[in-house]
Amino acid sequence: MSKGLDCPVCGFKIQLTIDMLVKRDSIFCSSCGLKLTMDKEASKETINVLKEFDKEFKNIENKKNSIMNNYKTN
Amino acid sequence: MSDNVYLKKEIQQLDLYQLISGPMTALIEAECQAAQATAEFIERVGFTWGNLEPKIDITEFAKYLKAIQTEQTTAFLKRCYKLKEISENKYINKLSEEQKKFFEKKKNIYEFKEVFTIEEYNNLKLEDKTNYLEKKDDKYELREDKYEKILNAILKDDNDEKDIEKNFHLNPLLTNYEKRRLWALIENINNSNGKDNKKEIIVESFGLMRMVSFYYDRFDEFGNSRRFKVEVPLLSLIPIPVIQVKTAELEFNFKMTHKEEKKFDGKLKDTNDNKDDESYLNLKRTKLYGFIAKSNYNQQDPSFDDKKIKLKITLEQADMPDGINQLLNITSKVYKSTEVKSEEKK
Repeated sequence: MSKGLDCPVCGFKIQLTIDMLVKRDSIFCSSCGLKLTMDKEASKETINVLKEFDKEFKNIENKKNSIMNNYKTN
Repeated sequence: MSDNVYLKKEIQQLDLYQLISGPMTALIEAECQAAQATAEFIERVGFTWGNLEPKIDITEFAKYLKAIQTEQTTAFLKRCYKLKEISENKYINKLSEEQKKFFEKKKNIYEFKEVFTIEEYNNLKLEDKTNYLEKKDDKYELREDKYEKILNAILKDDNDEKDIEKNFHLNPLLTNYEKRRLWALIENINNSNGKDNKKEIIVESFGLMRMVSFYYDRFDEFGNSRRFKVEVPLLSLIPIPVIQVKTAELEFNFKMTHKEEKKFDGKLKDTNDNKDDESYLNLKRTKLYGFIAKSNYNQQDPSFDDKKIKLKITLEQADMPDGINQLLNITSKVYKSTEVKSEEKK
């Protein structure tokens, strides 16, 4: 099952990433060009959770990379 | 033969079956952990408790715990502490010094509820029954694995409310869901004592879906701008990490020293009593014994002992399990698009 938002006008599946949700204010439908603006106030809590998750995810990525680098140098 | 040589020989002569099954068991455990991580992700990112979130009142909760630890004897304590048993049996060895002191200090204060009668059992909530109790003969007892989780989470330090709060939140043994169940259990007991029952609702559902809201403007047939709001569950927007082991390669050199043939004698034995007996698996079963052989022969240093076991694991993003797929189908149906009235527009 593909993830994303179904465009409310044309039904095209708009693919989203966590980065897009956290950093962007608006997203566009690639098919009909509809501009969807995020309601920052209403989605505040959700975005905060995503930010927290994103931060943890990046920490893990950094740790993984440093382990891999150590492994390669040894 | 000296002890050392004997030990070395024992270690070197391994059962091939065990040699292979060890890493395989580790892999299965790794898969289990990956599945748990996915479940945790769905719960943490996908759902919220909004104003019902126990975390909001956690300071109150800490105060409550402190109060019952120092003054009252409650049903919760009777269920969870089980101090007598803890101070006298295997559990005590698993506790930290601080915890041991705590139990020593408290064990004379509380009575212990180890067994529940049928009547007491019937008065409990269904999920308390299934999650915290198990049936033994005609009575119900608190599940042992739950003791440890609850105890470790809450009783690590009884001196400071902040510490209780911290332990409750950070203890990895408790998942968020269990924390809520525990919270609910306490609330339930509190309520049954005739106190405030405003948080009764907490145990009844899994929470609310986290939503992301968007709005967009469209022109109607008269050229007027109309604003619409779309609310979409977060779980339907972002990829869910479902990781599984794709391949596992185990590589080692094995030098066989001897083999052992087992023949089935025609009698099936009770496997519970004879866990080592595997005759039921195969009519003629051969066990191989040997040791890990050298992987490289070093000419410069023949005594060089280079024995290696290589385990290469490849992980991949797995297909969604059916259960999660069903959940996602539900989330994709929870799709709200409503018109925003002109006075609500900013």
